Amino acid sequence: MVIGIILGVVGALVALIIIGYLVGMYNSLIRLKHNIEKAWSNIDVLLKQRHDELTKLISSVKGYMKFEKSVLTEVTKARTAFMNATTIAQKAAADNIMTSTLKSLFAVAENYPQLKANQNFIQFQQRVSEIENQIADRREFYNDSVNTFNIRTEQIPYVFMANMLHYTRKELFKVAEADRQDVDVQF
Amino acid sequence: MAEPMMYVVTGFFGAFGGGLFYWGFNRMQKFRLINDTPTSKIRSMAMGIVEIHGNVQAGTILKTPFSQSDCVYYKYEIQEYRKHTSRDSKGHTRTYYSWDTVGSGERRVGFYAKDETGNVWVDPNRAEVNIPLKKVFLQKAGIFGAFNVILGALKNFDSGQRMDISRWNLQPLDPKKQFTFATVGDRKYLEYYIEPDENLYLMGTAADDNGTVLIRKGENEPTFIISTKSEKELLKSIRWQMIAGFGLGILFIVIVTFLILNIIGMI
Repeated sequence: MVIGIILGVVGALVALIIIGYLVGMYNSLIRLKHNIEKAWSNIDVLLKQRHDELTKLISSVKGYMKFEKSVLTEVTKARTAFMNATTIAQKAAADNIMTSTLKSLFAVAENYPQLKANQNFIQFQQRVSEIENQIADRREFYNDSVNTFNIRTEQIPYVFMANMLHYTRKELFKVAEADRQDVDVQF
Repeated sequence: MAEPMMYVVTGFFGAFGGGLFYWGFNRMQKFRLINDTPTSKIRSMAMGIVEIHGNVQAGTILKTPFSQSDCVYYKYEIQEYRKHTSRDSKGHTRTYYSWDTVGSGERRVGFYAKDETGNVWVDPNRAEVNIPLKKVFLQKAGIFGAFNVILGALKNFDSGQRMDISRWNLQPLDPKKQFTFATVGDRKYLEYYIEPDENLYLMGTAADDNGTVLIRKGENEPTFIISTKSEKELLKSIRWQMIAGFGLGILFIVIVTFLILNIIGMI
């Protein structure tokens, strides 16, 4: 009788730990999903900031770079593509185009000493470069979040709960092929 | 055992066991949170709960009480080797010896955490500091006078005053192998501290304080961990704490069940 009571108490405590573990597992999956959403929102904030800074940057370089219409057109196109993007994949693609276009813009600006000496341009260039660095960091953070989610949702015992919640693999924020290569500027 | 005493012991063990069990769940939650949160770069961290790896850049430097080492945080503990005698219900006397904690304290100041992208101010108040034991000193009995003299000196030290420990005759011990032949009255002085330039693991809340970003304990976020351990080591220690919490929690609750069965006359 006494042994039965003791075993019952131990059993109840072990059951409590198992229930706690399952609740924790569920909460962990929910947190991982929200981590990805939050990580993306934090990138999105910077993409919008960059978009605002670009508007000022373009107006500051227009007068100097009137012979570099193609570069400016590319930047404007990239900006429009970003404005029209609605999904994460579209925004990621637009961001990749924008990053490589900006590299070309800054490389071409080297040919215009007056522009390079312009304080407004210098400020905007620094600001855009800072935002670009932050975007790169947050992209890494986003990919870490996605990677953790993907690994966890495929691991036992998480996979069973992930299947019940209909969680599927998330896509990484891939860097454009052009960004992996050196910038080749032709004049 | 007298009946009222039995109730007190049962209540105490019950509360202690329940507390340990709850602590086990708390450790489980912390383990998952650390495991689930990716590391941010300081330059681009977003507001809210963040995990960063940084290097300590000290502003104000503290000195540890016994080794006088530079630090931004220290915790000390004084243990004394004591003799205990107890008598069981049959009247047999049992004697045992143990190192008992007879004094402890800590002090912390703010510092910068720096990674390859920038630095951020850390306000360590109310942080759970998880650091290994760094230094241990042994003091043989009788060399330094009454224990309350040391405690008085430490009280002065915690308020920022210097104290002279040269007469304490402290012998350094290896913190990993503390075994020593002790006699009753011997004391051990233990130091845990965070040095400048030491690598840190930090999980806290990034907040904006009048235009300056800093890391502190969040108002709605209970997790704020500062550790000199790597993330892997920290997770390992939290896992052991979780196992200890559940294991000891179950043990105490089983003891309480025995006591309750005894009170109601089933044993």
